[in-house]
Amino acid sequence: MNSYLAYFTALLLIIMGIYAVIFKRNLIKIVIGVSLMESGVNLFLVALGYRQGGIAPIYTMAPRGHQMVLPTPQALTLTSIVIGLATTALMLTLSILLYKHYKTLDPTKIRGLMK
Amino acid sequence: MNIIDHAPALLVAIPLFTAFLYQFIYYITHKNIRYLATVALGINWILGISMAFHVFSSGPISYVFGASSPGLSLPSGYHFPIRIIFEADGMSAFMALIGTTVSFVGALYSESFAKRYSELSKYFSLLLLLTAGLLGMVLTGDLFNFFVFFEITSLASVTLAAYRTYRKESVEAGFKYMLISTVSSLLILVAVGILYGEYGALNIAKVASMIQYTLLDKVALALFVTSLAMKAGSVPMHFWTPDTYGEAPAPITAMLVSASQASLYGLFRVVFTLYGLKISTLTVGWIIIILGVLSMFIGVTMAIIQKDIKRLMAYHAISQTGYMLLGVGVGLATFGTDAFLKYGFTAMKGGIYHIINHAFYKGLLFLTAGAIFYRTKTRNLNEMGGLAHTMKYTTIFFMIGAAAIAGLPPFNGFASKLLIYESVFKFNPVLSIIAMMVSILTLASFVKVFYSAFLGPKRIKDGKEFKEVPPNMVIAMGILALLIVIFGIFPGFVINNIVEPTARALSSPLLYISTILGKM
Amino acid sequence: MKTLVTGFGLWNPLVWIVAFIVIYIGIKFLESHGREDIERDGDIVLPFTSGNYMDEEALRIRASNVYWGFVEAMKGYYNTLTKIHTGIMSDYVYWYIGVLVVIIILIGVGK
Repeated sequence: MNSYLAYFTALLLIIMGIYAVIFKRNLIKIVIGVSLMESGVNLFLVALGYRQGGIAPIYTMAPRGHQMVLPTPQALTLTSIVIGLATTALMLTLSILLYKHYKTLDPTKIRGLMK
Repeated sequence: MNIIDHAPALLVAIPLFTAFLYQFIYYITHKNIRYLATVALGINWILGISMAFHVFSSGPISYVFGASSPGLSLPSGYHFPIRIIFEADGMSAFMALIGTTVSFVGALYSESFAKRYSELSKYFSLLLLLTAGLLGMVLTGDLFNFFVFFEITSLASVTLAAYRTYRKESVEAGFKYMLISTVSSLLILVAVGILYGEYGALNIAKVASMIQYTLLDKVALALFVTSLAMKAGSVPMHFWTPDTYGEAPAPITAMLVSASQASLYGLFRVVFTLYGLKISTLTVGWIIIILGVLSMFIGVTMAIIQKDIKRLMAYHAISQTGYMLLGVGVGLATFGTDAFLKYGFTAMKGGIYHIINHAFYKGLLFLTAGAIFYRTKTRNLNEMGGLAHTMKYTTIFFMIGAAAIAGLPPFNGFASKLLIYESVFKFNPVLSIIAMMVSILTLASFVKVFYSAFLGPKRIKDGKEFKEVPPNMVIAMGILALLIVIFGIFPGFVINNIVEPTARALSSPLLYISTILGKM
Repeated sequence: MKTLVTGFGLWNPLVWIVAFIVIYIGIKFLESHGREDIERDGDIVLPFTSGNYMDEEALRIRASNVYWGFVEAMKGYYNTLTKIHTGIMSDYVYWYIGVLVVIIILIGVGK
């Protein structure tokens, strides 16, 4: 049961993120929702590579007989965090610009394209 | 050492390097270098063509980063590809051919079109990043890298769509696109994670060779299919398409069409190669067919009522994507049965032929819309008219593009649609009839555009006539128009030498797998 | 090289091009036999405007009014579609997630 806890948490985070994106009426909260999803996905990736009692996957000076956690998911997570940073920053930038133009952060009012 | 062996890596590396070079030069000299992007993408174009024809004639090539020779995916003693691998089989090379062509044309067009934008060097850097992203998406042989390039493409296209930040609509379109593409790419990453957790590999060929089609695999497949179909702009997840296509600068819109098709490539790659050995072809095939038919019909009917020229064309992009989904979907639904050889393969050929045709004529149409906007400063069809008097080249190019998209013979759109109609009719006559009806409605709405924008009395704004656009833009449009005419007059040549190898590569997952893993 | 074999038939664009040229020559031939004293801009439009002299701008149909009848006939369909396309970004994601759930169920249930 314990070993599945991380997956449940990841799923919960992703669903919370999606909920925020769909039902929150504020751009900043939507961006937070996307961030939550990112954290959920990152947690999922790291949890994939976790092994009970594993040590860091560095061969230099590693003690013998211990199993290691998988290095690939950690590399993936790092990349994903960097990409997440870029997307969050860009979304916040666009939110600021939208606020300047529309004087509101409510997505139901930001409908200039519909005319 | 042959340059073609390195082509898969170079195709991504050249735009990526030039993108940073632009910023570097700007940082030092504070001057915008003109034509640097065009030259770099021109080299890329030549490389793309030569790689494509090499692959079509002599089979897939792979590029292994860091290996002692480019094609060495399994060093002695390894049973497992551990390095980052790019793989160009027929389908990838075909998409790279499209991507390099359209990006070169887009850059050439931008040299004049984007001249009045501030921060020109950033514009071109982003354009090059978009090119690198979409070429990376089609060339990579690795699931995680696919996600990375997917994100690069999204970020670059969002920034370019929202480039005119002084317009509130542009920023809004950018944010909408950003939101939905970020959510979808995160779910793609979940799917990649699921596959990694199950099979411990990220290489597409390796995962494809082990795929079991368990429940988790099915969930991952659904995540892939939905996300990539959404990015390709299929109904009912198409709402971002008219917004973003409408608001992005015209050359960028032409490239966004190719970026969407890179997502379409991802979809086809996932269903045919990654899951190709075990997929339940009928279920997934019908899902793709239904998405395709919905896209075709709703896209074209919504296009008829639009009055913004670029939104109208964006709805047509949705509708034309439907044809590709329909053609390849029929190919998938019949995959592995006798019917595949009888008509399924022809439907796939039609769908794939339509991809390249669509990239060219839709690109051309968006460029002509940009040319109209460049002179008239409006996108509203109600306020246009009489442009044929003064903008002769644009008019001719628009006519070529409109005739091609409506499937009028002898242009290329007709050739691919003919293949789709005939083969889909064997599969299910109703689908074929819908496809023909959509084609008629397409013609109807382009007649409307042609009538409102080009015909009628000459108009004068601020005491000036609307002159023809600068030569860069005319040449850029001319290249695409020429390709359309060639593809229309020599359909047999194109089918035999370009489309057939592509369809064969897409429909043979074992070939893709054995390129990396050797004979199994 | 020019012929497209579809597996059910074939199509050669060259035939079409020849046909276009023949039709074009035919039109020019007919035109050359027409009367030369008719002004192209003047009275020739009168039958279409019920005999009224009208400004050329006034004769133009605005883009929104082209296919008015078609749009009017399909009003119910268009009202539904434009109502669905709200332009609210949350709804875009809502549709995406909705389709995702449907496709997960379809693929999951499918053999």
